[in-house]
Amino acid sequence: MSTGGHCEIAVSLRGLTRTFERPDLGVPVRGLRRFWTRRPTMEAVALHPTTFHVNAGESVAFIGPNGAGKSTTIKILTGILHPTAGMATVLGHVPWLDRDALSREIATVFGQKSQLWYHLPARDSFTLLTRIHDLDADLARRRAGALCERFGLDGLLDRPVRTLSLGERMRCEVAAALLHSPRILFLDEPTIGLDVIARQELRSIIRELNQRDGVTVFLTSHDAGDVERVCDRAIVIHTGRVVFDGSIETLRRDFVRRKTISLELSSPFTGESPIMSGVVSTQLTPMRWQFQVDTTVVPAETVLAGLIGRMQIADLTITDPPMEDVIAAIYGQASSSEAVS
Amino acid sequence: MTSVRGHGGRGVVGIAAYRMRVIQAYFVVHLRDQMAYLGEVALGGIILAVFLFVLTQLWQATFRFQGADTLGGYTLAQVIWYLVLTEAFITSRVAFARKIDTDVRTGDLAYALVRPGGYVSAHFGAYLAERLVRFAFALLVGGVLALLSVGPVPVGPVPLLVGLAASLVAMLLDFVMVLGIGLGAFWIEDTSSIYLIYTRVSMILGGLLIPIDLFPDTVGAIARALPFAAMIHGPARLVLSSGLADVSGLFTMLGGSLALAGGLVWWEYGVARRRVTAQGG
Ligand SMILES: Nc1ncnc2c1ncn2[C@@H]1O[C@H](COP(=O)(O)OP(=O)(O)OP(=O)(O)O)[C@@H](O)[C@H]1O
Ligand SMILES: [Mg+2]
Repeated sequence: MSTGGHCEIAVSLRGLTRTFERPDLGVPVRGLRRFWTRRPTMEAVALHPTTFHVNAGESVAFIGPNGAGKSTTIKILTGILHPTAGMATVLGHVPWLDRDALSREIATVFGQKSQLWYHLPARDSFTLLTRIHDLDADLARRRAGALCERFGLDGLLDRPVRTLSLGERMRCEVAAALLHSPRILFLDEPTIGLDVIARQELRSIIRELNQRDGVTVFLTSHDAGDVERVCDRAIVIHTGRVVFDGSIETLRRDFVRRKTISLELSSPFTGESPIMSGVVSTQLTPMRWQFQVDTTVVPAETVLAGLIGRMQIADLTITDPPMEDVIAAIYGQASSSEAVS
Repeated sequence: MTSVRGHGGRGVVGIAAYRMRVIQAYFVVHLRDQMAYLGEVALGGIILAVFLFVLTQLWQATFRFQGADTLGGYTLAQVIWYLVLTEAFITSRVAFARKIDTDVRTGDLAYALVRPGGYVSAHFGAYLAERLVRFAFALLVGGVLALLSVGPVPVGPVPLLVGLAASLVAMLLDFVMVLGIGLGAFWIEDTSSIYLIYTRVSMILGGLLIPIDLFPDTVGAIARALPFAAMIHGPARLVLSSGLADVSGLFTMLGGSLALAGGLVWWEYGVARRRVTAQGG
């Protein structure tokens, strides 16, 4: 399935906001009064006004620390929750007004919430989904067959879903979500709790869906690998605002202003380790050195120029920090003075 | 998206037909599922058999003690067959209020509500499958037992069919009431106690063990004013009386109760839906 122009907007949020009323426990209501007075409430903000757009065919990681409002956003975009203010459209539908029409074009997978019928075999879930999506029985059967092959579900389909392992179940979940050929796939922490292999499998499946079938992917995860392997673009929300929106490369290069310079020397260097402000040096062996450069203090080129004069370099690499560190930095950042783009 | 038939925008008839297909799908899937657990159903049959056996002994003793051929217009054989019919209704009950209660408390309801086809349709299809399998099985076990102990009773085909139809309407009414109880989880802490009260009251005032005709006058009057008698006693009596004397009263009671309960639960469901989309999971 190819989408027309590359500018077709799949998901659009304009000032989308969600608050919850919470009982204000600071104001006690005692005695009989509590039977007729409304308990005082306070407003808790789950999602500050948020604006961004996702084009059809994109693969977006929506990241931010716990409580940033990621799940809330996905719930609103899939029609589960109503917003308090703002606007959103998904494939032209307003999710909370047009849930039925929307549910035929999108799919949602929650890592923490099974959408299959727990006590029934997955095969029955496919049957039910075929009917409730009102699919042509033959087409759906063929599609289910293809999905089962692709996801390696043979042998799993006849066991009640509750008896499957988490990894097996997640494969069934994703396959079931795709039965009606959705154009957008929302995933909320899909790899949570999976082992390394299962994670990689799921990632490559999602990646392939996006690359080969052109399904728009919108994913939240705390896992660096998910973000790197599946997505091309990242949207970061933190303390109520979008602090980054750009490509994964940009995120990695610019969000954490730190580079690692690794050197292989042609002759051992045994002198004092070079001291520069903004640089932490480590001697791995006399032939191999590593320098962590804080590029807000000193550019990597300056450090390198200094090193070239003192060491005999056989080989050098400059690397960006690993995604784990990038994400840790994003989450650790209280008020983002470093935010880019 | 050629595979999507698109049930939207086909008018009321199209949507109703779609809903029926959804209910049917849930029905078929759960029917198959029930067959997979036939052992459990059989276990229920054994319990039912023991229960019926004891009650048969009791009623035989009562008839002997009274030295009468009929009690309240029922022969011994008729009382036993009455027990079979009412027991089949009661033991085939599906306690899905707990499922709904859990859905509400865990927040799963929010997710279930966005699934196309409808939450109530899903539960209704599953309910019908489970209920009808258990009902048929209980009738079978009870029927064999009654045949062995007291033999057949004369039953006309028309009262039998009308009685079964009334039982179906009664099941629909039961479904609506249990749905209402389950959704009560939005307001009350523990709906299982309400469900327990509902089942106990419907057993006693529905005339499970003792036909309502044998109740003391005041209790009988109360029982007749409530829908439970029409759900349990009514259809059984209709089948056994071989006449259609009370049939309009019975269906009026069932229909009226269904309209009333349906209206209330519809409203409750609407409020519940709004609360879910306001509160989220
Ligand atoms: N139903 C609710 N009632 C009250 N507050 C809620 C409700 N749902 C979410 N919140 C609050 O809204 C905020 C955002 O929650 P949300 O689940 O969207 O976070 P998240 O970004 O998905 O976090 P995580 O990474 O932990 O999954 C949190 O502070 C949470 O406590
Ligand atoms: Mg979340």
